[in-house]
Amino acid sequence: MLCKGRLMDAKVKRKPGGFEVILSKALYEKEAVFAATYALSGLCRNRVEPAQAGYVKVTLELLDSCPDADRARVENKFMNELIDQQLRLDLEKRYGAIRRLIVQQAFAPLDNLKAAVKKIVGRD
Amino acid sequence: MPFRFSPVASNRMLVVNEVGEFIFLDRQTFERLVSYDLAPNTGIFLDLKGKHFVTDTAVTPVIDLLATKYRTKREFLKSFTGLHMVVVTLRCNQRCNYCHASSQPTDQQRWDMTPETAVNVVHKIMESPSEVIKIEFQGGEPLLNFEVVKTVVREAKRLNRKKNKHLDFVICTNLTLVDAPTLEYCKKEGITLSTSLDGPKEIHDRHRLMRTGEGSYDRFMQNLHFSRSILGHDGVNPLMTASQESLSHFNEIVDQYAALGFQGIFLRHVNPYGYAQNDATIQSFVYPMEDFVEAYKKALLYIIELNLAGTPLVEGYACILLSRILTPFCTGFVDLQSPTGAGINGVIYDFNGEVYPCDEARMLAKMGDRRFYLGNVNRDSYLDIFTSPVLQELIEVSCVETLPGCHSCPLQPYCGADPVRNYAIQGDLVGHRPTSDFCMKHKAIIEFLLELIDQDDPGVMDVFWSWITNRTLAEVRGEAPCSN
Repeated sequence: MLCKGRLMDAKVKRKPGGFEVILSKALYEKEAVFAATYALSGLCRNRVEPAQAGYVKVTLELLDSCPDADRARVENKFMNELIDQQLRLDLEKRYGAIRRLIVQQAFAPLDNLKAAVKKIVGRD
Repeated sequence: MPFRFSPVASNRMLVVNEVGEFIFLDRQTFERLVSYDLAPNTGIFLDLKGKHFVTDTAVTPVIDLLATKYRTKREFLKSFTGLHMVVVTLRCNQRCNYCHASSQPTDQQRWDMTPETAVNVVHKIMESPSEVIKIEFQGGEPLLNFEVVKTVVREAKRLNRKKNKHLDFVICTNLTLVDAPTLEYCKKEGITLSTSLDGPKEIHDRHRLMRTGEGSYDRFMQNLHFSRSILGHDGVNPLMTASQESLSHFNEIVDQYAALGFQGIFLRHVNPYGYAQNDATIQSFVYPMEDFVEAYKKALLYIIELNLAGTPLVEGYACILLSRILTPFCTGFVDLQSPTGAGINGVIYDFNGEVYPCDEARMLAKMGDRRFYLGNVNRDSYLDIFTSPVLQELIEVSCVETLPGCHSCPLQPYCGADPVRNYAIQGDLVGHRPTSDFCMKHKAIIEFLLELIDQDDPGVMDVFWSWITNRTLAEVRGEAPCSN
């Protein structure tokens, strides 16, 4: 299972007022980590920094306006957000070229759309 | 095929493609979709195929179809600026608490637009490539400088003999100054009136005050009936502004709009910035956006019930969003476009000829921040104004595809950006989505509408279709012939 596998590779350490997560760079790209921390930046003060080789450390400190009792909820939210953001990157790798082709065809139609589709998808 | 997704409150995944086709999937089905694990002969695969999320046949026709839909959704870009707001005076005989503009006392005529500036404004307007032009007179109270309104109408119609555009005129007035000659003129020239009605007397009079201090409701009602007697029933259309007290009275406000026979209501959140921020009564009209959203959802369900019970009334904001969700067409709504509608869909000309992309930008200039000044009709050419670096920057920072937080949001095809609001409230053009009440409001309401559509209640869907096709329920249901 895609989601469970990724969760198992993230080490979460609870700290007063927040938590720290060590993430494997093999599973999470920089863009996904930044997008997930950005998504929670209304709830937490976030810090992203290098950890041991192949890992990155994310520290999230709950803002004063966020009750400490919500820590578990924020923790779950962050981990889910991380998976969603990485999946979005994965999907963009699969379909980004098609997305760009749709936009190009909308505003500047190609002479040979079939050929362009075949080049990207492998079939027309 | 490409799509964006996000988990929603109902513990499902909302999946939306580039042209706004959407589907809710349970978690397992979503995982099967992204793992290429859906069998082609299953119902869910066929649903996804019908909405162009997947294909098991030729790819090129699907891409071509999506490209056509994408182009149609972005049609507003081709038209360029169609809405031209002209501030003919800053003078106003009212002093509403939450007015964020810069209204001035009625005896100070130095705040009036001159006829010379008005002519220059019209020349700029008529240079717009848009085939459809709406000139909206604003203030202050525009009727306090009615001669300049007439100048603009006369000059626009004269120039339009050659341009041959579709030309509409609207006067935004508090109605307290209308008289028979004014209304007869409006009727003759085909001008409609846009006005403000916040609700029943006790709600309306709490904030919409005359400069002398008394409420404006009684005079408003009297002149509403008088205006309708000359312009026709639909010649006057109101907007409401929701203050804090309004939230718990939305149903009564809706009832009043229905009783007065208005075609629609636009449940509008107050914008507490500009001069409104400094008003001593600010606590009486501001509220958290969450409160507005909850009140809005309840009121929308109430309006739907009213429609089903035989009282037609459109909720304007829902109608715009539903058009974006349920039809392939674009809708003109300056406040929620990508790139922003400010400047490229609508523009505002101040009394002194200064041009701003929107009213909020004009307000900022009045408070000393001329960040969004585009030029002056008395000195600058059309091209100087509409290709100004300021406008180009606004466009660059308001494409949702590139904004942090928006770039992966599935609601992109229905939503937009407002960089001027971001700047006014959050201090920079890009804004910060996780703490933006603009984002919170639109996201919550769009998701609410998507959930209602997904429930597929026949009555609710009939009401929605009657709104977006401007037909009666009987017409939508095939029980009466279509009148339009």
